[in-house]
Amino acid sequence: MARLDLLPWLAAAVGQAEQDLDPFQVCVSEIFNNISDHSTLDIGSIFVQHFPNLETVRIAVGDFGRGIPALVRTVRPDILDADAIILATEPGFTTKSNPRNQGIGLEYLLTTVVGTNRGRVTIHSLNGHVSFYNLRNQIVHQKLQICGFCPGTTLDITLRTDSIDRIIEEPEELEW
Amino acid sequence: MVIRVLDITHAADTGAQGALLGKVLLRALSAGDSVEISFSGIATATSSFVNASFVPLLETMTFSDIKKRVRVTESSAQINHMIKLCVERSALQTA
Repeated sequence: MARLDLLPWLAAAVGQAEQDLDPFQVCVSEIFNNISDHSTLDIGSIFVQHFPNLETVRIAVGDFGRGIPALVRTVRPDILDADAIILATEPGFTTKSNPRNQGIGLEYLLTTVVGTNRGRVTIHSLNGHVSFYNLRNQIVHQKLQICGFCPGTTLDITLRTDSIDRIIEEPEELEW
Repeated sequence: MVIRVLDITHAADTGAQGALLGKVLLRALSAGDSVEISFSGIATATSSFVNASFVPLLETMTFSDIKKRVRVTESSAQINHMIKLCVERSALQTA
């Protein structure tokens, strides 16, 4: 989906080659794979808007699954919603709802969007609302005081179009 | 033996696509040979794909064996990073 529809549109909108946006296409694919793995309702929605004057692209992906906090509470029963969201993004954390899952999806999203692109990712799930941003090259989080309930999970991603690197690569061999 | 990913699946985005490659890999490696996997024509891979294709090799081989017998060629930096990350992390968990 992302490859066929989103990537060409996004590349044209921001004036860059599709290959420069490959990392973000992977992020969107990772999110939809998460929905497929974790959500009892295998349905996700995506909305994308380009703000050329702000040099940003906003991508919102939502599902109506159980929500990250409910899933995390299968392994950490007493955790609060916002803390569950933070835990879910930590390297290596997984609820193993899919036996092969190693919990890399959210970590990759934050590394790519917040770490490299210096954008922002805000995760809303049940009563938890947490924003991740780049502060002096560190990915930091802030729990947001929002009165609102998100049935399922919504990821609100802000990409900076002024810091999308050009990718010029030759094919390479994996060095273990 | 050279396995072209594009001959098996058109993209490396999902676990289902990874499972297709995984079956071919297991069959080839169980014959005792080394394999070369070419990602020619594929620019990116998700963790779901790698978890379903490469990580299951750890059920029948050690990480050291995988490094000796599995070559990945015509690949990208992102794909190579994802394969290393998933396989190394899974190898540590099973160690």
